[in-house]
Amino acid sequence: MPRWFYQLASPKYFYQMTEGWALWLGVVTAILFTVGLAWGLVWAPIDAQQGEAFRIIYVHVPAAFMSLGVYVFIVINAVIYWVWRIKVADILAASAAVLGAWFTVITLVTGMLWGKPMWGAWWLWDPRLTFELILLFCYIGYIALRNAISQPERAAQISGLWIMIGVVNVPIIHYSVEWWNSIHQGPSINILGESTIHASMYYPLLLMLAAFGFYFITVLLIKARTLCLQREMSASWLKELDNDDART
Amino acid sequence: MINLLRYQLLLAFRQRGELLYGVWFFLLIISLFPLAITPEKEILSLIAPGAIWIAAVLATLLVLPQLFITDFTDGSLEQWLLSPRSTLGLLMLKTTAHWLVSALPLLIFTPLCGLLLYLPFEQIIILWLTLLLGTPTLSLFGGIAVALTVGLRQGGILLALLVLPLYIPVLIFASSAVIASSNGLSALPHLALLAALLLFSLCFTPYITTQALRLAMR
Amino acid sequence: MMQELNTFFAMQGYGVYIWSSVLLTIGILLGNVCYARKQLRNAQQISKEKP
Repeated sequence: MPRWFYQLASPKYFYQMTEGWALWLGVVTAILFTVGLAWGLVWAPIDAQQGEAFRIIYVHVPAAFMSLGVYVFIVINAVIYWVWRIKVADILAASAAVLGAWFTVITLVTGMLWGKPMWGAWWLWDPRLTFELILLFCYIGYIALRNAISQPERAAQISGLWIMIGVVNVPIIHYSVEWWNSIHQGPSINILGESTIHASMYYPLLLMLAAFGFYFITVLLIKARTLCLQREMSASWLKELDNDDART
Repeated sequence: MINLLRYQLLLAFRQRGELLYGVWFFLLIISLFPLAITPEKEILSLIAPGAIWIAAVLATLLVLPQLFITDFTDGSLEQWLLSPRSTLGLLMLKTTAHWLVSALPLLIFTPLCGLLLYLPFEQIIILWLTLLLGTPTLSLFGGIAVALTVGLRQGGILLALLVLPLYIPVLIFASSAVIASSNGLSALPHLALLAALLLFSLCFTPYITTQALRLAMR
Repeated sequence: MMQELNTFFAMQGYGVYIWSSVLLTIGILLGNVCYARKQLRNAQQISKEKP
């Protein structure tokens, strides 16, 4: 393992090493977003059944993917912290939480805005949206738990244990929601229409996925660097910042 | 072991009035449903299993902090963790005592509530079975959350935020059991799933709760 | 030209939904970036003041 890999584990080195990264990542993100959105909204063909409303997919699906991906990211970091006590892992988990929650909110709201023209109703208790809503509750619980504990180490351990339990429950919740939906509503509505998606619709989707991914890394870095600074300072100073506005 | 269980129950029964608070709360919530929705028979009998389960979840949530809080405040929790006896065993005893105190009264009053909400007799039985299988799972999962949040501010609502997503599968399987029986289908697969959840939580939660307690007490 | 632009924005009548989704998403994402950067600047400020 190269030396810089080990050094990344310390907040101080992490902060110093990632000095200019956010800027370049931000530029890449902006480019990916522009190209992806333009392609998806202007040039991509429209769906035979859903018409132009299909274009919401270019925002809805990447957000949904990220909402789940960030949750897994947090769990991985929680495990790394649990086993090896690497501080940066916990900082990354803490920084990712609010972002993941917002991705879930975007998924839900764009899902509603997609549902209204497609199904005629703002909200439907279909398995995916219901699961997404419960995922949002899981995020909020994790964030609330972190915020309730002031010492970083205790917060890391307690919330880490909770999210690891949560990840076991997430498949159970997913399965039970599908079960519940199949009992009450019959075969679930297939959001994406045809299961194989045409190439000309596939590429802009990939671009948007990449755009969301790079966006996540960019903002994650900014938040992580903020946390590094805050935790490096002495405890009394940290309490002072705690009272102002420090969240995540 | 039996003595310890008796001791836990003695602690709970010392304040006999407080025991029944959970029951009164349960009955109150049940009464809110017809008041808030409609007293019509068809609708009430439809929502009855869900309403009773929601009331049970809320009642369990209310009693859950008592699992550890008195021991936490008087310091005996730390003694337990340090004692040479297996913490696992002690924990199982506390959880059992908690379940006996909180869920058993609910089980006794469920037939009455089923009657109040016009639930047919066979479905009351199925509902009762789901409560029997489901409430221990609620206590076990809740135990982890209480262990993690013992002594934190905003304890009650934080506890609810954490634990309610975990309760959702139990709720789903329980209500689908009753609905299946109302449609004439067998409730057995749903009850089996509830039993599976119970076994799963019995296997894993005691160890996790012990870990959580050790974390919280540091 | 204006006609084509109008047709584009209308998106077969679904325009409201599509554009509100896109604008909301961009708004939330930009808001998060700005908030994060503001927090970082605050932290850097405070770390400079404290020796």
